[in-house]
Amino acid sequence: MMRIIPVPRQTQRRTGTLFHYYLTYLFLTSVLLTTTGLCLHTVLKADRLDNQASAHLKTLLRLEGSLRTDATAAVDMETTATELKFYLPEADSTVRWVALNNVLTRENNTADTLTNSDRFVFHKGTSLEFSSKDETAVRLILTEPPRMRHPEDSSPAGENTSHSVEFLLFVRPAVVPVTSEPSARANESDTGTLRAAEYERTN
Amino acid sequence: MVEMVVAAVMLSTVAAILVPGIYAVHQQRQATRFDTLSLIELNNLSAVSRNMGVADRNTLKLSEWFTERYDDAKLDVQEVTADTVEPPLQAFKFTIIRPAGDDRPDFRHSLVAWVATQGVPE
Repeated sequence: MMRIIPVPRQTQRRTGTLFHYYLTYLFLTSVLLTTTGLCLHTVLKADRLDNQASAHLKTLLRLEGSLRTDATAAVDMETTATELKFYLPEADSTVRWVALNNVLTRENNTADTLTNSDRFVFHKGTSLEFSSKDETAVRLILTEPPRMRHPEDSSPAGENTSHSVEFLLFVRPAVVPVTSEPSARANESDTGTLRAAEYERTN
Repeated sequence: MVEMVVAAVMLSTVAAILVPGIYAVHQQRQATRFDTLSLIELNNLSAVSRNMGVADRNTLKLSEWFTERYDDAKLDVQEVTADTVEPPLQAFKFTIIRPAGDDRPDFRHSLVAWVATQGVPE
């Protein structure tokens, strides 16, 4: 027969970490993880912006190289606000630059047949415009989209914060071939649409 | 208390490494941008001087779009004397100088252009 002996109650000290220690660990861990996440985000964002800026600058350089090569080889040109056409007598071709929103397209045409084309794509919101003062000089104005104004920016509120890049190009002037009839030359000059192949090179 | 100190040391270490790194990347990007845009501006100046037939330091100046970006940039035009350059060609050295600040050397970007001083420019 078993006897049940009552165990006297005794005060036991509970072992382990106190609750507020757990809270401290939890707080420090969360701060550490949050900081790590913010750092990672900053690094990745900086990398992405760096890649974007690098691509933009490469496109600018590529565009400048193509434009100046065409302008050097060209004799005579036609231009509007969105289109520029070079006449290349040596290659017997025409190069047409078309600006549409933020994309600039270069089309090389030989005998009215498109032989190749190239595209230069810029940031969304970029505007491209050709501007010509005379027959031999043309300016491509690339206006970047407006940047967000910093609250501490001291410039006036109405001031445009967008920047631009300009490419200044000069083309050799076309020379009308000497003809026997002055009246015919005058008519040709009036039309202004003579192809460069019909011109003599200036030098 | 010990945990707080360890966490503070770790955060300080990360910040000490990360902040200068990000700042250096930003500075490098600014320098690359200035390099590219100054090259475009130098080519513009070279084209203008070829078209004018002379590179006059009084008439040539930085374009408005460039000075809007870099208002502290300056243009320096120097005539280059070299034995290989024969008339009617004349060599000119265009240099765009921009102070870097913080006791660092100035940003300088140069381009030498051969300008035809007689007749129609090449």
